[in-house]
Amino acid sequence: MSQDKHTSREFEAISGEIAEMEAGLRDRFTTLPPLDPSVVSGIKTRLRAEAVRIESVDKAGRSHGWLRAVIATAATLLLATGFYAITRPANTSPQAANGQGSLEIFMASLPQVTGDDAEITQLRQDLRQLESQASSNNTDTGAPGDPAAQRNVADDAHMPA
Amino acid sequence: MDLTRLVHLAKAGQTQAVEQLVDLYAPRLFGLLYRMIGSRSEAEDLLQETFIKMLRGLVAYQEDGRFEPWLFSIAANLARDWLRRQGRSPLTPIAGKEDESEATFAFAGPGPEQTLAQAEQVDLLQQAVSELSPAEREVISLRFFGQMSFKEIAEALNIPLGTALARAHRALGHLRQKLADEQQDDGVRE
Repeated sequence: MSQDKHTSREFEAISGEIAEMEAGLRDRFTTLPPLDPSVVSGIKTRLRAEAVRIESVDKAGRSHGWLRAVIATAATLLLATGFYAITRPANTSPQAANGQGSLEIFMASLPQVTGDDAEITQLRQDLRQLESQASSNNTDTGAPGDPAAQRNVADDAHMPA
Repeated sequence: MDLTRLVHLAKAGQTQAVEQLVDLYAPRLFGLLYRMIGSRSEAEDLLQETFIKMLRGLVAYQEDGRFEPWLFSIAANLARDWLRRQGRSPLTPIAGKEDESEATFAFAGPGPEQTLAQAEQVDLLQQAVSELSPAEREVISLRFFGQMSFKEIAEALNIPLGTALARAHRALGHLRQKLADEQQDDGVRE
C-alpha cells in the first residue's frame, strides 16, 4: 500500500516535470514541413485499389461459403435419406424382420437415377441376382439325411397351419 | 462529421470516409514516422503502409473510441520494424541522402528565408532526436504526434506506465539540454 503511494507520488512528480519540459519542446518537435500533396493523393489512389481488392476477396469468400453450405446440405440430405430407408417402419415388417425382401426395400429406397446410368443398373442387377441366390439357398431342403433339412422339417412341424 | 461516425463509415467500406481519415491523420502520422526514422522518403513509404494496414484492420477494429491510439500504434510498429530491418538504432543520415533535408523543405514555407530558418531549426532538433534511443524517440513521438496519454502509450507499447514516463523524462531532458547548448553556442558566436 505505502509502496503504491510512494510510486504514485513519484509518477506525479515525474509527470509534473515532463509537462514542464514538454511545454518548451512541443512546438519545435511537431514543427515539420508539410507533406507533399502528391504523396497524399498517391496514398488515396493506392487505398482505392486496395479497397477493390479487399472487396473482391470478400466476395469470393462469400461465394465459396455459399457453395460449401450447398454441398453440406446435399450431403446431409443424402445421409438422412439413407438412414431413413434403413430404419423406416416397412423394414420392421415380419417379412423384412426375417431378412426376406429387405434388399428390395433398400433398393427401392435408393434415389432413382434418370437416364442410362449403366453402373447403377448393373449394381441393381447384381443385387437382385445375389438376393435370388440367397433365397434359393434358404428354401433348399437339402438332401435326405442332411441335418439342416431335418431341422427345417422339425421347425415346420411346429408352425401353425 | 465527428470521428466516431467517420470511422464507422470507413469500416463499412465507404471510400470517401477512408480518404477523409487520410486527410485528417496523414500530417501527424508523417511527423511521427519522420521523427522516429529520420528519412523523409522512408517516412512517406511507411505512411502509405500505415494507411493500408489501417484499411485492412478496420474490419476487425472494435469501435471503442480508441481509434487514434490504434492508428498511431500501427505507424509506430511499422517504424520500429523498419529500424530493426535496417539494423541501426540512431537516426544517422542515410548515406547519399545528406541533402535530403534541403530538398524536403523546398516547398515548406511561405518565403525562402523563412523556409531556410525553419529547415535549420528542424535539422537541429532532428540531430538531437537522433541521439535518443529508438524506444525514447517512440515514446515522445507518440506523445507529441499521437497526442496520447502516458497510460495509452504504455498500453500501446506493452510496457509499464513507469517505464513510459521514465523514457519520456530522459528523452525530453536530453533534448532540452541539447537545445540549450545550441542556444549558448549561438550566443557566443554572436
